[in-house]
Amino acid sequence: MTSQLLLIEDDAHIFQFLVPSLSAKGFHVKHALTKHQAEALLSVNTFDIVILDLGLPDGKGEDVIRAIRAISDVPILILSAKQEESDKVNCLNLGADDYLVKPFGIDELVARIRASLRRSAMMTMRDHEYQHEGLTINRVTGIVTKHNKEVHLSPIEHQLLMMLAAKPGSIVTHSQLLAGVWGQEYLSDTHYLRIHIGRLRAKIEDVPATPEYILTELGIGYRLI
Amino acid sequence: MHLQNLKHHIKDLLLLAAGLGLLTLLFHEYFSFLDATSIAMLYLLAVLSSAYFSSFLVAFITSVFSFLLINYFFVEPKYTFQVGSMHSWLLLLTFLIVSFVVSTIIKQLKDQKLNAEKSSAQSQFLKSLAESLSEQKNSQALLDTGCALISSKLGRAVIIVRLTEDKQCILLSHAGVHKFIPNQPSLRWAVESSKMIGTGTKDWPDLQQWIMPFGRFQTPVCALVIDQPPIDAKEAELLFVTLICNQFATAYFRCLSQEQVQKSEIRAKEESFKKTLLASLSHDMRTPLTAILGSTNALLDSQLNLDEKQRLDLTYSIRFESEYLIRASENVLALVKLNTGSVDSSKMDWQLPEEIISAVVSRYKARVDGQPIAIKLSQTGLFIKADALLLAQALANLIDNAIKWHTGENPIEVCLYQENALLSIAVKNQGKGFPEGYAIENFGKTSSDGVLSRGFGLGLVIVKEIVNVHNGLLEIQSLPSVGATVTMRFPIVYVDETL
Repeated sequence: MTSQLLLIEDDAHIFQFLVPSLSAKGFHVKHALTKHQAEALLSVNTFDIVILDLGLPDGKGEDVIRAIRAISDVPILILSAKQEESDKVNCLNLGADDYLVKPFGIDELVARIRASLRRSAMMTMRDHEYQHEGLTINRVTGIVTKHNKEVHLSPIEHQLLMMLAAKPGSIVTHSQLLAGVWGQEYLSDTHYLRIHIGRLRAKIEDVPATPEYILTELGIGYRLI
Repeated sequence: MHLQNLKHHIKDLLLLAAGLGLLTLLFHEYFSFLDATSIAMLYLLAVLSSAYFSSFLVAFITSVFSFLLINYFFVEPKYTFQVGSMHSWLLLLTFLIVSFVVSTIIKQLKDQKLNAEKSSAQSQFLKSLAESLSEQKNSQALLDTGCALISSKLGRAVIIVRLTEDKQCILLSHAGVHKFIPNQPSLRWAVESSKMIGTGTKDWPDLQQWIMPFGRFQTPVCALVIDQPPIDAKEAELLFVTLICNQFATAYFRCLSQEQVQKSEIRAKEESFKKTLLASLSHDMRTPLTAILGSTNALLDSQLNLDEKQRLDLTYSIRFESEYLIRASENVLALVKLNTGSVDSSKMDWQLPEEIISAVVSRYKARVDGQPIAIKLSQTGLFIKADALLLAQALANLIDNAIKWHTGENPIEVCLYQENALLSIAVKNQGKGFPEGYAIENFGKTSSDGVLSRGFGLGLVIVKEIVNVHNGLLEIQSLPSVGATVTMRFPIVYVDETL
């Protein structure tokens, strides 16, 4: 079955190459130029993924995310230019899943889309277990194993890992993690987060200096691959 | 005047009357065996004390009354005011001379003491004024503080005005219970003749203000105006306010000139930023853009009859130059971000450098044609305060440069280690090293030099700027035909690990 993809992009130079390239890669692409058009399309179709450009003419990215999240859990991938850095974090906090900064290559975009689709397929199968290479996380029992050996985590490390594992592949922002584990009043204490992510990596990564499970999104947050 | 003095001394006089009455009663009732000389001595004591503790007037009255009392009670013929002998007149004369001399000396001493106290208080005030003024961060704060201090010291409303070249009067600062407007013509007169005018001076004595102009050549022309000065102000007080005004003016103009220097420094920095930006735009962008435009034109030109290999070469060239432009524009964006003041070192986030290193290096590993890069972490778990994206940009620039000049077999190294209070991130490559005499500061000036191919300069300029906003140090070590090491050093920030 071909995946249904909604591209919300107003810049002709971008969608001119994105629409044919994505179609050629086997996606069924619908294209909206504005927030208004996107909402119309979302109300009558179901999509497997939404690709959203932040620089829309008729609305802030945040508004589009809110509108989408009001009706659907579809993965949202954000395309942003450098100037929209803080906007990007806001969008992730509002429930977007991933972002790509312009300029990007089509291969990179396709890889992100595929990863996202694979994850949402995995999540819809109600699979309670996250598995990647040697690492297994049971989201129900909370048991974490590495190469079939149980990994013992401190309560904070465990909470962090569970938050990341709830949305594997998606970026979880610093503030989401801080609010979720420590509470709203600790939003600026990123050093706590970094210390515990460091300890978590020391326990689950093969080489903590070059992490392969928990990836860093500089200035934004972390994601579990 | 005398009446006022009398009122002032009424307490003294009452005390005196009681004292003399008591003295007379005692002597008359119990010590009548004493002779007149002894009694006169004791009355002399009373005269002395009144001259010492009170004024000449009181001492004079004491003398007269003492004389009368002695004459009435103790000298023959007793109980009459008739003066019996020459001795009595001599006594009166002595009393009067003693009271005059003693009270005059005492008055002088008291005046001297008062003056000394006053001038010490004044110099104390001038000192504290100078101290408070020197602490002010800008000229407006200095004006306001100075105004408030002077107003509270003198207990009068004070304003500071500036006279523009077209004779407009601008209020710079004011303090005191009421705002007031200086008399314009007198203000102008004072400024033109540059002397203090108003109450107690020779000029405009009926003004009911003190106007003290200051500042003439190359400085703004201002005036300190004090409202309703004391009408009986003496020379000393006029001198005091003049001193205040001088001190104030000195501090104000010093502050103004410092501000001027700061402004011109900022302007110079902006100028150099513009130069770097323009140099980078022409240096790093025009060439690749020309290549892209040329290649696409060639590809679109149907008359060129390009073969498959040529078309492919041109397409690859477009991709190469575009990727180059991406990196160049990242640097230009970083430069703009650094120079628009949007990077505030106080708002920077806690960062573990090893996290940034691994994130940046992983980007290079993802490349197909990637050079091997080795990460060497001798120290982990130490924080610095940094902007993660800028730091990543700096590191990426250093790695880009290292890759460009790397010719050795071994991988490029990215090292993290602690050295005293600094955390160092070093990027090492093997290659021909930096050109001799290379200095980052010369970027943009030596771009015609063939050694500095494009992209070489701006990257390091950005690194330098990024290291600067993080209060760090940048160090370049280079050995010709061995390799180069560029090290960024940042202050370590220790954190409380209790949570």
